[in-house]
Amino acid sequence: MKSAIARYGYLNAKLRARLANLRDSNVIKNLIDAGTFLQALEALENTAYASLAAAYRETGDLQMMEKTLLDDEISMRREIHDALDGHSRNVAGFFLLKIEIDNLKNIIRIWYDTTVLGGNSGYRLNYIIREKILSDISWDAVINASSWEQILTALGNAPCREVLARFKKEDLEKDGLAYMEMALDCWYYQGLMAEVAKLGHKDRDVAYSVLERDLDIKNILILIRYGFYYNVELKRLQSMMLPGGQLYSDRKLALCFGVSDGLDRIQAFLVKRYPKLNLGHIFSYDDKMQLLSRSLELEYVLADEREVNYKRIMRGDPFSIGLIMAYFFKYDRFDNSIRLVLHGKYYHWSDDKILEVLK
Amino acid sequence: MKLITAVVLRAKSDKVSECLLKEGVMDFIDVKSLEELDSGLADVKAFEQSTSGDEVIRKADAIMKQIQGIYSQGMIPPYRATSQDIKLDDSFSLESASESVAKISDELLEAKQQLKTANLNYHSFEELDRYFKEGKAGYMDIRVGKFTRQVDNIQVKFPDVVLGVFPVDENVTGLVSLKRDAAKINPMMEKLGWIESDNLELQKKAQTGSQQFIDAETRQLLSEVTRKSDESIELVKSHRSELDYLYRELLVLKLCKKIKDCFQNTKNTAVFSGWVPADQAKQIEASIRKATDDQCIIEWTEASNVKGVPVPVELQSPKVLAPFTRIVKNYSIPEYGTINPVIFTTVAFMCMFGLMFADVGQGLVILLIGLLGSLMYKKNPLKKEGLLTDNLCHLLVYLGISSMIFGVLFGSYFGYELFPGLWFSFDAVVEGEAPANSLIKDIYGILGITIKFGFIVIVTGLVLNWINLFRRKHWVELVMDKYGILGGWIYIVGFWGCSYFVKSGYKSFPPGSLFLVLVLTPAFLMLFRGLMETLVDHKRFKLGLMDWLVNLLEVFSGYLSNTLSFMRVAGLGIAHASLMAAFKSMSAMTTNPLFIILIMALGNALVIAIEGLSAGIQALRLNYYEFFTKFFTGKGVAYKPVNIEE
Repeated sequence: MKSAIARYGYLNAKLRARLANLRDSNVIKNLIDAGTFLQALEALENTAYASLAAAYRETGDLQMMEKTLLDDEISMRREIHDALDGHSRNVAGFFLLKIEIDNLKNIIRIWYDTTVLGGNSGYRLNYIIREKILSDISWDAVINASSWEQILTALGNAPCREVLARFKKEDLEKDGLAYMEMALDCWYYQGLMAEVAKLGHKDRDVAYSVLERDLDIKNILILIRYGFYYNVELKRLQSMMLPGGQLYSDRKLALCFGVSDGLDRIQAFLVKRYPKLNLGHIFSYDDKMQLLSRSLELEYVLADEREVNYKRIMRGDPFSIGLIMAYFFKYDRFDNSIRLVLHGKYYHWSDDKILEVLK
Repeated sequence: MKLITAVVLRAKSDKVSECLLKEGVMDFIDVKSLEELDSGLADVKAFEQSTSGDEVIRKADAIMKQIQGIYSQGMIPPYRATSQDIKLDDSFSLESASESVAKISDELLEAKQQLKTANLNYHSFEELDRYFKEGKAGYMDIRVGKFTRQVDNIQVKFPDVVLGVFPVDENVTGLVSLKRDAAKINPMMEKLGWIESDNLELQKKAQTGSQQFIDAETRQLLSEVTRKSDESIELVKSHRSELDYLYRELLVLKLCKKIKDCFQNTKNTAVFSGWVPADQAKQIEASIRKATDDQCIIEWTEASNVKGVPVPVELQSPKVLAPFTRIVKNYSIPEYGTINPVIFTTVAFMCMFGLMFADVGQGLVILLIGLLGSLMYKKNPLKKEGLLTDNLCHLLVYLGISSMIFGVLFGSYFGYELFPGLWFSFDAVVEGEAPANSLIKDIYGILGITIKFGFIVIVTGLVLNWINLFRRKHWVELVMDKYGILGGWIYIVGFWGCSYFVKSGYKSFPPGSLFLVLVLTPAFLMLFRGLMETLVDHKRFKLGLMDWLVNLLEVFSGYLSNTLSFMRVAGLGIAHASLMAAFKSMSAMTTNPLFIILIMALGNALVIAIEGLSAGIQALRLNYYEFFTKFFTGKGVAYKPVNIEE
C-alpha cells in the first residue's frame, strides 16, 4: 500500500496546478463577459475547456458540448481513482459512481418519458454515456430495454440493481420516478458513508466533516420539499432521508415521525435546531410555491458552506482525502458554471439572469 | 530611447493618433508625470478631464471577439494586422459593424443547427450500424411486408424514432428499427395497414438487406454531416473579406482610441508624451509634423536626462535567437543602459547543454524533433501549442546542434565511439578506459573542465556587471560590491590559489606571501565602502563593520558555491555516459542483432527523454542562478509601443 504522502502528494500537486490554471485563465469571467455565444466559444479557446469549442465546431450541438464536459469530468475522476489505492480508492470510486447513477437516472427518465408517458425525448439517448464508468454495466442493453423488467435484467449484477428491483413498473406509473431516484441516492450515500468509515482516523474525520454537513442540509431540503410541499406520508418521508449526518441520527427528530402532528413538530424542531439557516423565514410561506422557491435558498447555503469548508481543507493538511473531495467540489462548481453560462449565452439569457443562476 | 513630448491642435488629434499607430513605436507615458520633470508642462493647469474611450474600446473588443469566434468556427487563422491596414474608413461605424457581424453570426448558427440535425440523424443510424457490427442485432426489429394503404413518405409518419425503409422485392418492403421504439412504431404500422410477410426467403433477404441498407445509410448520413460541417466552414470563408475588413477597422479604431486616451487635452490642444527608440525619432517627428501640417510643438529629451520615470527597454536580438530572448525575458527585463544578455545566454546555454548531453546521434534526433515541430507550427498556425511549444521546438534545434558539436568533440554517436573524439573520448574516460595519450584521463579531469567552465561563466558575468555599473556610473558598487572589482579580484585570485592547490596534489597553496596579500588587500579595501559612499554619493558616513564582515563571508561562500555548482555539468555528463554504457552492456548480453538494435534504440530514447530534460533544466538553472545573478538586476521595464502588429 502506498504511503499517505505518495497517495495524496502527487494528486495534490497535480490538481492544485490544474485548478490554478483554471483560475488564472479567468475562463468563467471571460465567458460571462462574452456578449454572444460565439464570443463565449472564443473565450474557451486556449483554455482547459477548448475541447468544448471543438465539440461545437464539429457538431453544432450545445448538448454535445455538455457531453464532452462530462466525458472530461469522468476522465479526471477516473485518473484520481486510479492513482489511489485501498479505501481511499474506494471512496474516490464513489465519485465515479455518482456519475454512473446520474447516467442511469437519465436513461430511466428517457425510458419513462417515451414508454410510460408517450413523450418524444428518445433523441436524448444520443447524449448518454455509453462507455464504462465504474461498474460493468452494458449501457447498450439498458438503453435498449423496452420495459422496466428488461432494464432490471440489463443491469445484470450492477450493485444498484437491487435498489431498482424494489420498484415495480406500476409503482413508477403511479408515483413517478422521484421515490426511485431518492432510493438510489440513499443507497449511494449509505455506501459512501460505509466506505468513509473504513478510512484511517485522519481521513475519516475530514471526510465526515464534509459529508455530514452536506447530508444535513440535503435532508432538510427533503423534509421541506416532500414533507411540506408534496405532503408525503410521514413513514415514507422518514425512509427518504439520506442516511448520514447529525439530523438523520437525531433521536428527537425520529420521535416526530411517530406522531400524528409530526410535520408541525418537524418544523418546530428544524427551526430550533438550525437557527442560522433562517428556516423560520422559509416556513412562513403564503403558498406552497413560495415554500419551494424559498427552500432553494438552502441550496445556496449548502454551496456556500461547502465552499468555506473546502477552502479550509485546502489550506490545511495536503495529505488527506479531504483535499481530493475539495477538488471534486471545485471542479464540479467550475464545470457547472461553465455549463450554465454556455447555456445562458446560447439561449440569450441576460447577464443578470446568468449571474443569478450562478449564485 | 528618447522621450518625445508634443503639443498638437486638438482638431488634428485624430490624424495624429492614426499616424502614431502607423509608426507603431510610441510607448506612451502619462503626461502628468512629466510635471515632475520641470519641463514647463507643470504650468499647464488647463487639462480637461480626459474623455475616456473605454466604452468604444469595450464595444470594439466585444465585436472583435465575436469575429474571432466566427473565424475559429470557420477554421480560419486569426487576422494578422499590418501597418498597411491603418486607414480608417469614414463610413465605418461600430453600429454597422455590430449589425454585420450579428448577421453573419445568425447565418453561422443556422448552419450549425443544420449540422446538429445531420449529426443527430447520423448518430441514430450509426447506433444501428454499430449493433449490426457488434453482433447486437437482437436490439433491432427487422420486418418484411407491405403497407396496404398508400404511404408517400413513411419516415414522416414516424417522427421520433429511427426507422430504415428499404426495398426487399418489387412489392415487398423491409423495415428496420429498434425494439425499444416498438411501442411507438406498432400502432402507426397498424394504422397504415402493414401486413407482415411470412415468406422465409424474403425474411432472410431482408436480414442481409437491412444490414446493407443501414451501412449505406450511415455512410450517406456521415457524408451529410461532413457536407454540413464543410458548409458552415465555407460560410465563414465566404464572409472572410468582410470579416477581415470589419476586424481591421475595429482594431484600428480601438488602438486609435487607446492612443487618444493617452492624450491630455486643453481647450484647443492635445498634449502627449512617450518613449521612442532613438533611431526612430526623426521619422516619428516627420510623421507628426505631416499629420498636423507642421502646427505642433515637439520636444525631445535624452533618456539620460529623464529622472524618476523608468526608461523602457526594447530587448533587441536577432530573430534567430528568439528562444534565448524568451529565456531572458522569462527571468526579467534588463535595466535600460545595461548590456543585452541574450548573446551571452545563447553561448552559455549551448555550452552547458552540450557538455551535459554530448552525442551526435541523440543531438541529431533532438535537432530533427525541433525542425519537424517548427515546420508543423509553421504549416499549421492554428495548431494549439501543447507541451512541445513552437518556442521549445526552436530551442531544440539549437540544443540538438550543441549536442552534436560536443558529440564530435567527445566522440559519441548514439553511445558508440564511431570516430575518435576531437578533444577526448568522454565515454572512455567515464568507463576508466581513457587511452594514455588522452588529454583527459579520469573523471577528475572532467570535473576540472566544468569548474573552469564555471569560472569563465562567472567571470564573464562579473565583467558584464562592471561594464553595466560603469555605464550607469555606479562607482561605489563598481569597486566595492561583492560582484564589483574587489569582489571579482578576490574570486580570481582565490580561483588561482585553489587551482594551484589542486595541481600540487592538494598539498600547498601558492608559496610566499603574494597569495595572501592578493586576497587580503581587496578584502581590506572593501572596508572603505562607507567612506567611498560618503565621498562619491555624499551619503552620511558609517563604517559598516558588520556589513563588511557579512559581505566578505558572502564573497567567499557565495563564489565557492557558485563555482562548485558547475560540477553538476560534469555530473550530468557522466550520468549520460554511464547510462549509455549500461545500455551497451545490456546489448552485449545478446548476439541477436534485432535485440541489440532494440535495446540501444530504447536506451537512446530513454536517455534523450530523461537526460535531455535534465540537461535543459540544469542549463536553465545555471544561467538564472549562477550567471544572471552576477550582472542582471532585472529592474528594467519592457518597451511596449502601441503597435497594430503586436
